[in-house]
Amino acid sequence: MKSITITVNIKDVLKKTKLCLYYIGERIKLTDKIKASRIQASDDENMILEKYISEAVGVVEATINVYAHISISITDDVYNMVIEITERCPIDDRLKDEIINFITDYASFKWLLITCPEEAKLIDTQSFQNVVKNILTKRKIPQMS
Amino acid sequence: MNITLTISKTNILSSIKSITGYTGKNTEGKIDNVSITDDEGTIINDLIQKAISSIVGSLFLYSAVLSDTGISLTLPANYDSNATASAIFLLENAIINYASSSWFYIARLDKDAETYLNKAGSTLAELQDVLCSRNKPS
Repeated sequence: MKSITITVNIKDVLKKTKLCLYYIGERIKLTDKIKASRIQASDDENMILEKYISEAVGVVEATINVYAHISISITDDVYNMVIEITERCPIDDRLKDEIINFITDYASFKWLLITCPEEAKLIDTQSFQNVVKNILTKRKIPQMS
Repeated sequence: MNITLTISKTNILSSIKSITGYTGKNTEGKIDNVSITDDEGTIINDLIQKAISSIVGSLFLYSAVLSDTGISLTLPANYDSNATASAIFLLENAIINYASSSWFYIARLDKDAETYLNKAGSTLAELQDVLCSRNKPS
């Protein structure tokens, strides 16, 4: 077994989520400025977005738990995810990118459900499970000596 | 973030006097009825106050409160404060258009009253758009 640690900085994800919402708002601004301003989350709404980020981390845990052992702890605004998996799984940085992207998408999705539900439908939060499955169920070909 | 959109009643009054003066000049035989002079000061001040109250009501989305200096608004932390100058300009224009419209109704110039009421509506919509300006997250 090998163990991989993935760290997710809450402040970075929060910033990424707000940036994503900002650009969605900029597009909508062309047709509806009031709706756009509701989508573009401000620092006042950090707590709500942090709650959605925490929810997303829960979903990540449940998804990965099916294929590997995962334990998550939180210290100083950072989620530490320790994944234990067989040596034969060629796990790489792609998993970390996928996790961060999923958390951002999930938090944006939940925020859009309140502020602009029709826009929320355009965010894909379903493919994460398939991507995780593909990464964690892959195995190296045994080498013949 | 709290901002105050200041209202200069002197500017507003002077603009209304210009508008009503020119409109009166161009309306045959009605210059005395339409133009505002200092004699109409009380009524025009009431119309300005009415216009301000009506605008405060339509800015409820921003918890608008009328104060001595102007209209105080509560905006999100990411509001782009560079837009405030243009918001003040649009607010004054909206007040001028509303008050002029009310005055034209009194002076029996229904068509002009209608025109200025429409102008006021579109200026107010522009003001709401300007208040929706947001900063990019840094």
